[in-house]
Amino acid sequence: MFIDTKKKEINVKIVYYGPALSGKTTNLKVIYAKLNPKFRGDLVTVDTKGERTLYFDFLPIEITLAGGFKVKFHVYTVPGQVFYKASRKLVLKGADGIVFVADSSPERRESNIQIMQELIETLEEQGISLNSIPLVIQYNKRDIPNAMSIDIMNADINHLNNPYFEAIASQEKGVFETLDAIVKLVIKKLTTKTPV
Amino acid sequence: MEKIEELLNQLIRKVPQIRAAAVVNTEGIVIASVLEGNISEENFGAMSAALLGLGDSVLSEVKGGKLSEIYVKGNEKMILLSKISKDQLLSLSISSDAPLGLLLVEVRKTAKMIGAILSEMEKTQTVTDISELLGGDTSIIEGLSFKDLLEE
Repeated sequence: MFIDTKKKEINVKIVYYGPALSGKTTNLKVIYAKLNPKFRGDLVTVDTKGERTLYFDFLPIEITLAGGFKVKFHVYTVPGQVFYKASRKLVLKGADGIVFVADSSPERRESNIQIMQELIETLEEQGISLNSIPLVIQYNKRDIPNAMSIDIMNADINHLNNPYFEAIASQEKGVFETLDAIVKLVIKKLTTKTPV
Repeated sequence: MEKIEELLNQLIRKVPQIRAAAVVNTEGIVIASVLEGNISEENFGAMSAALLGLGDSVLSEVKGGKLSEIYVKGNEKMILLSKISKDQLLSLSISSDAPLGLLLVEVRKTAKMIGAILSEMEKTQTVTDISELLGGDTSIIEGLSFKDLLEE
């Protein structure tokens, strides 16, 4: 987070984290498509031909509040494939809030658990505990016929009872509920004493 | 930040081939900048931090020590990143015809001066309550909902 008191500007970094093809980029694409263009910049995507994120996706959102106070959200996704761990670490650095996008498909159960464990370890390496950073979990792809139950998914990856949302990001369902929730958690943290 | 922006302007006056200059932190957030109108500050910051991260990783792989500069040259423009501190970098977009010797001398000098200013700022700034910045009324930010900001 970076605060410019003279410009009355807060910069907040939000990172969408999760296993490969869980829908992180789809979330950002929906936000980009639906948000009024006056509040957002261009969506920058660094991907391969197979539409897999190579390095990150990035969407800047800027909101001017009453009194001319600006809040700039820098929203990132990370690449989900296991071998891009180094890229995930770099993008995660300095995050003020995290959205973990989990895949509801039973075949992806191990990937959800593995990437959540990696998130916990990466945060610990950066001196951050999972319970000290705003985190929202999104259970995506709820429309697949054999989707895992929420109880199973919570037992697998939501050990701290963080807020969670069911979503079908490709149909825009749950996308803005998730975004609103993480922003609210980040703001709640900001409105207490905060290091500059 | 005005002091830093003045230093960036001074640098551009000395090396007019510099088209954009920004001080970016490793999170990708722009702290101060002098950019051409068609460059997005946010994108420039995000890409600069990404390039820095990638450079760090490559250097680490070849056991190349600590990163100090990254130089990327295209046929029209080049990008030069110069590390200011472990958390900040100076990122520049420059016409490819710029004299490299003068450029590097001036960029290193400016990075050092910006580093001194940022270090001083870190000492004086400790903790800020966001609610103070908002005049005590946090409801304007707490009530924020993206559903109210969708295109009609």
